[in-house]
Amino acid sequence: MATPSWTDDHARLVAESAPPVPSAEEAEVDRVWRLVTEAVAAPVRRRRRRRVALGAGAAAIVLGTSGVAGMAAAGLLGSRTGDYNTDPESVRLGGPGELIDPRGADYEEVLIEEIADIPFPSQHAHDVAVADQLEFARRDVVSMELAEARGETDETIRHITGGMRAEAARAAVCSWANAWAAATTTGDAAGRAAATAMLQAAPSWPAVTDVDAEQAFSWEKQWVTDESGVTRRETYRDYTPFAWLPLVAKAADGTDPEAVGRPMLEYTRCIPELVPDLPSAVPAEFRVP
Amino acid sequence: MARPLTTPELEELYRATVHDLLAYVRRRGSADPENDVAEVYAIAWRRRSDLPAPMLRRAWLFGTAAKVLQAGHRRRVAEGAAVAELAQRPVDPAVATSEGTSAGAVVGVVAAAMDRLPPGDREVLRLVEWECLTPAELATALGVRPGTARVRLHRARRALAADPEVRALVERGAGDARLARAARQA
Repeated sequence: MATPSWTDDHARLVAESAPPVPSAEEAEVDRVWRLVTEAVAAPVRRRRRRRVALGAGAAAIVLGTSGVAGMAAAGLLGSRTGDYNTDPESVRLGGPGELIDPRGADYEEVLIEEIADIPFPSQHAHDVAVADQLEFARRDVVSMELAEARGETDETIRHITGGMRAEAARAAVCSWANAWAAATTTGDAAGRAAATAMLQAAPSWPAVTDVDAEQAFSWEKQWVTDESGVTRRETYRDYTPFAWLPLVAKAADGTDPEAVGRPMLEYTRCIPELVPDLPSAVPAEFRVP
Repeated sequence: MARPLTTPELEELYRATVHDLLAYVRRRGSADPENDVAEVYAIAWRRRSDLPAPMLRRAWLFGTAAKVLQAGHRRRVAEGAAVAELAQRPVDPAVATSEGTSAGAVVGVVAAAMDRLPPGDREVLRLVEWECLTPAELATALGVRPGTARVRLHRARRALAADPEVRALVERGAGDARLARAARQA
């Protein structure tokens, strides 16, 4: 029998199954804030009122140790699994391609091989993009190890080559947007023309169209339960993973760096190191000075 | 490196999100909500140099709260207190009302189906439907990429929709709606 699709009814039922909880009173809010300020003021780990606070600080130590051990142990594994993402909905959401085990010792090699056709303006930009994905892979390895330690057998993380390529394509677009901004600011006509051409070709890159041929915005509805327990429909703007890309490509015809950076700031994530000449592409606190 | 959060900014973040955080830990059965939530903001302060963008910080706090609750659970297991604590904890109100009204019964069926899901799937659904996180926020809360978060959400939704009791509930609801429409038209 086919699995039924997820509908608004399912969403509403889950929203309504939330256990009712009392609203926090101002006295409680002030009480918790005092605990926070005590912790912020104290350089050493604070004690809980009733128990010793190991908390996430201890978890972070375990996480680091475990991560190092895990990456070492992973030396025996290869990343390529030979399995492919065949579920249509998973393909729509995460991209097509082979499932990749982030624990593999050859993960970096596989990643570089998979993204070889994606153009970057410099080797440095390419290396930053690769390092960013390696960091996510490392976190996934740690997450799996922690789950395994908790006895949770469902926590198997696999990357999909289509998703890895899409991540790299996003980083490449950020890099080209930065090159465009630098060239536009300095009056480098040839550099600007090259970067503009690349940004306007990017919506057709296979690494982009494989995961998002549509590149579009739409209005959707969801069920929302407010603090008084009332559930209602709310409209929100949804968008496909690369919906922002045509906006960037169009803005590249002009000379306004804000217009090029804004869609990336609002709808995606640029690695700050890739956009030092286009600060409008990242939140103020993440900009590279 | 990002500009670190200042103390006034921490307080602003706290005032904007603490009600949601307290509700979050209470809905997940925290034995000590005030201390757990204080711990979350203390971690935010320790990591003030690498917090995500402001619009994603509420989701990041949820992800951190989940880790704090897990650490607390592990600690209580190690202390041998979890069994005694569970015995004393009041029954989940969502399930407790299931025998009272038909609406309560529906909630009980869904809560039981959620309990049958793997823990990872359950939390993904709760984050989206209880805490109203968008897919991008879900990715931040889980510490994964947006594409991975969307796949996990899809997988969790599919698992719950396939639960026989949820399936019967939704089909019955659809049937009732058709009958109501027919009655209105008659």
